[in-house]
Amino acid sequence: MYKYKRLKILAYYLLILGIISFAVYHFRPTPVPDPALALAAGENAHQASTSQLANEPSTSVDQANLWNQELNSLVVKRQGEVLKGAEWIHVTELHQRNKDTTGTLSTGQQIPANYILDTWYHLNKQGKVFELINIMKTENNEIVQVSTHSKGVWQNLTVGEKWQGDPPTLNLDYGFNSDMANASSWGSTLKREENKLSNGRSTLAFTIKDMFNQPVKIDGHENLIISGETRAHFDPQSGALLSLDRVFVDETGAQFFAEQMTILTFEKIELPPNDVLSYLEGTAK
Amino acid sequence: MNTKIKSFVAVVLALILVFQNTGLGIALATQTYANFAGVTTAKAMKDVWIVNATSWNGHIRSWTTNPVYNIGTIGWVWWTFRETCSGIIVDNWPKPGYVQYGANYVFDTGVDDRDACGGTREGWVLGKHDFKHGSSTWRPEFTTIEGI
Repeated sequence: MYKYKRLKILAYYLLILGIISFAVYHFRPTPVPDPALALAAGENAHQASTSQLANEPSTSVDQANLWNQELNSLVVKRQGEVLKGAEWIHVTELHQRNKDTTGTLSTGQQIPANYILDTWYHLNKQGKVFELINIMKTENNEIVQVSTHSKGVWQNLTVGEKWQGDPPTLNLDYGFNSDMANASSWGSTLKREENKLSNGRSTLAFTIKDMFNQPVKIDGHENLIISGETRAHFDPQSGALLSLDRVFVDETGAQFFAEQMTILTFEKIELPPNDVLSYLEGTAK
Repeated sequence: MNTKIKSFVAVVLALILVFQNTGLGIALATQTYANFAGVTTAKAMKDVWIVNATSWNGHIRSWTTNPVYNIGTIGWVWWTFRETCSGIIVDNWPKPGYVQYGANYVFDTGVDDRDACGGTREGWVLGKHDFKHGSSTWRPEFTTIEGI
């Protein structure tokens, strides 16, 4: 009887602890977005923009949920169209990064700040990726690294590393939808914009703005960083991600693009070229 | 509902809330050497977590516990944190070795930005820990890889 009473008290203590933890985590104050900064970053990101149809700074969880749902339905639509019947998907991306220093591979080779990623996804009948060939190239098309995934094993052929891991994923939104869903738990703010480009094309852009509690040293950058904005531009008709930018503000107040990623090509193919397949088959020369 | 069931439900609910909101269950890798040098338990840990959409952290920690005990040398020989996108290393930040003498707790945290990745984006922490006390030495080398 005494033991049972103690259990009951413990249960109530734990419940109170849980409720407090929930309240602290979900109802903490979120930083107020800086419209001037966001707008300036937007102008840099889309110099082709001729008009901004909507610019609603995010303040409420309900608003964030609505945008999350909107993006989710775009992504689902895109997945349905792209993955249906696809055997191989080939994606090329241009990554332009603004770093003071870049990392070095164990081979002594410098990782380029700017690079092209040439990725070949092999899908099964359920639309899941089960094999992959990934090639990092310089802007001059010189191969820097090659990695593969086959039969549950990842390999980076350049540095000679092999490891077990889950099958590759193909995130058509580059994980942006998931980040948007997590934004409130990070104390980040969201923004939604509809832009009309000079060529008449429309884009739908979502932005996640992260303010650091204190300036933070991010490797590759000399100055401390005080905030970061990640902005994804989608085709509102097809749901295709067009580009993804990350803008930093450093301790001096300077604002710059940390990364701009543009999807150059996205195609369904029957089979990659033999020289690409040879990486998967371990017969590359 | 009888009180026993109510209590059980309360415990389960509380645990769910606590775990969900404190971020417990995030990925980490730990190795333990019980009765290290006959005086303490040595612990080596590597961890990866997402800070926000902008950045992620790689973390290394060497410490003693049960009991907390200042040992001769504690730290690491080397450590590195890196980001990969579907197996391609897009960032790689090697860090120098670091030890403290007569201490029980050493850690370091590296911050990297999250590069755009349409595939499998992972954060890695690699390294070799360093524990010495008297004639005992333990240098575990392991890696943790987690989705970021």
